[in-house]
Amino acid sequence: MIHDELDRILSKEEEVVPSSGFTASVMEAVRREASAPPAIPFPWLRALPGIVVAVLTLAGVAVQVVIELVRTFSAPQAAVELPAWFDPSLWTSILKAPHCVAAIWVTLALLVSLASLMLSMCLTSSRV
Amino acid sequence: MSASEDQADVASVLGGDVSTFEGIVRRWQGPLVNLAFRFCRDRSRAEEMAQEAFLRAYRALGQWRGDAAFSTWLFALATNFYRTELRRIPAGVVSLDDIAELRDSRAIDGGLEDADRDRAIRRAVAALPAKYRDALLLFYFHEMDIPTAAHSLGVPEGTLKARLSRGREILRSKLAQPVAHPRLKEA
Repeated sequence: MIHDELDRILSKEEEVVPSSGFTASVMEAVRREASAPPAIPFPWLRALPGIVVAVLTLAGVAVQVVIELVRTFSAPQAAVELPAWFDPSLWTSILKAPHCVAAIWVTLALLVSLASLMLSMCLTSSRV
Repeated sequence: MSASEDQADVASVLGGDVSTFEGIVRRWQGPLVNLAFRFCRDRSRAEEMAQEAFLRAYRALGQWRGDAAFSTWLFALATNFYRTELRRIPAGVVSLDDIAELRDSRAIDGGLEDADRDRAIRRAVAALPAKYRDALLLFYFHEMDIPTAAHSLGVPEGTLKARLSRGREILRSKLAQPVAHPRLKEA
């Protein structure tokens, strides 16, 4: 195929004339858009107490976990020569401790909540 | 179409007078509908796509900085939307292989007539992979102006030239016979 021939064929495209009501239809949509209330911003003020509580809870759980770990490490381990954290039974006991299990679940729940909050914020901000 | 009119209307709309957007619509409805038609080959859908493009232009009017012509900005915005829209709901096109079959079956009857051949070529363009199709559509829509077409597509000029070349190559391989020798079978 010769370039010139392709140029000639594709250049002479039929002209489409917009329908008579096109401008009115566009302007109606534009006016509707203009009169629509602005997008509702994220209610930071209302969410603030919840966020603060969540952060404090997360911090409390983290502190609790650290305390549990320190308590476990500081227990007499005379017979053990390796560092305490090498002992598999230590980890088993930590994981089996009722407080620790609860703390892990609470931490997990908070992380999931945080992730869903971040995701919803990302989605709403990208809608603009 | 005056650039100063566009500039004045944009300033007026941004100043709160929504009705002046009508001037922009009146000036650019033809080109935007025609560009949409080249993408979808459907008049009704072309108008819907152009309307949505105008609406998006209205929403984003504040982003036009005036460093490029308003038309350049508008075409880039519309092109971007049309391409997205076509990815979402592809135009009813036949595959390139079907184009080749059409060519072969019609050639038996004495070759394609000019109108049929032109239509087959347009269908072949529409059936090209998107990046070559878009390059060809924009190139011819902007009357073979490489810089404007490249700007509308948001690609460097070199990339556009490469896509045009490859797109033509594919077309040539699919449509070589009827276009190069349209009347050989009649002789």
